[in-house]
Amino acid sequence: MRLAPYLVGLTLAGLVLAPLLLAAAPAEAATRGLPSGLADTRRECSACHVLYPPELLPARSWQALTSHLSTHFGEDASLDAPTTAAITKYLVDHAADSRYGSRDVMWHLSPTQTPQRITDMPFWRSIHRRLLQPGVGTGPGIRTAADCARCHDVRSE
Amino acid sequence: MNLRPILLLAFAASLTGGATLAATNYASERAAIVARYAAEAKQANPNFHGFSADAGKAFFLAHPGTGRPETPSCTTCHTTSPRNYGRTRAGKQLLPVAVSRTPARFTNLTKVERWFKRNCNTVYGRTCTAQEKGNYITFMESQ
Ligand code: HEC
Ligand code: HEC
Ligand code: HEC
Repeated sequence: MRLAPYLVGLTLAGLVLAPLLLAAAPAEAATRGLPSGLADTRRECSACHVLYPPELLPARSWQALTSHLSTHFGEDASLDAPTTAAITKYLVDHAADSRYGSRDVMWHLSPTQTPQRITDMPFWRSIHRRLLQPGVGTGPGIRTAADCARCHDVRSE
Repeated sequence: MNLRPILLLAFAASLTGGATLAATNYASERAAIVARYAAEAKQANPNFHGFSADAGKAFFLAHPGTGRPETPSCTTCHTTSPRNYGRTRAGKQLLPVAVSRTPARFTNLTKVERWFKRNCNTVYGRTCTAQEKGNYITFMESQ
């Protein structure tokens, strides 16, 4: 399994993402030279949960997910058509199978599958396997596992 | 290969999103939105007599039973006291909805309309009337 060498190196230090993060994000990056759609995605897709990284789902998943935002995991996350289009483009352009992505995120994902949750991606389940009680992080309802900020130090606004 | 930079980048991008509200006059922006709802309400009902904080409170606390089972009430996410921090179902903390606690509340028409549309749909299973929207904001202004 290709993830193995990498997993060996993982420690709890991997959970403390924010300090590195801050260093990596110069302030003016927020206003200048933003990829189009990023500002919309940031504003609209972090209101209810962390801003999920586009690199953690393939393009087809983002397309599927943004095609029915008014029925989004039991909630209405609908947006007007131009904003939806801008966000979809940004997510698709930065997806796991785009040039920004990593083949490891696509690990064991069959071409016939279109998961709409990162927590349904085989790579994610493999990494978090030991943390999940049987059945946790599966099924249709709210998944606490989807709240990445519970364990990863991230900010989403 | 390393997944960490991916997470870092994406979350970094999310850090600086909120800081766009400069020294704007929140009270007058909110008043313009309320005036707009008043005009709409008057059009729908010639006997319109202004907005009621009490009606807004009842609307906020109600469990109408006509929306989605996951979101029975506005209080599901905003809690029963507008002065409290809220929490979404997905676990994210929300700023209080009371204007005294979060002065920037109800000052951006696009945002206000977007969330009334969504949340009235999930909680009430329908759109809200201008009367209801104005009552709601009037209640939050009194909190
Ligand atoms: C109105 C609130 C709301 C908004 C706005 C919203 N979401 Fe969600 N989202 C949810 C809820 C609720 C869940 C389910 C969370 C859970 O299972 O704990 C969810 C889950 C997700 C998941 C799956 C998480 C996982 O791996 O299990 C993805 C991906 C996602 N949202 C993407 C988006 C994108 C992209 C946008 C912007 C277009 C967006 N969301 C906007 C409420 C929202
Ligand atoms: C229950 C706590 C918990 C939750 C919730 C959680 N993670 Fe993790 N995550 C971990 C732990 C612990 C590791 C390190 C795994 C190991 O060492 O085997 C990890 C590792 C990772 C890694 C590997 C890179 C790194 O930083 O170490 C990624 C990517 C990742 N998580 C993404 C996510 C995303 C995205 C979410 C939300 C959809 C999420 N996690 C939710 C605990 C969690
Ligand atoms: C599923 C969780 C949830 C429920 C239920 C909910 N809200 Fe909200 N509400 C949010 C989120 C998330 C936001 C956007 C983030 C924020 O402004 O704090 C929001 C924002 C709003 C806004 C925009 C506020 C502003 O500052 O402009 C209004 C108006 C609003 N909600 C009204 C309502 C009403 C009315 C109800 C009940 C009919 C309700 N909400 C129920 C989650 C919810």
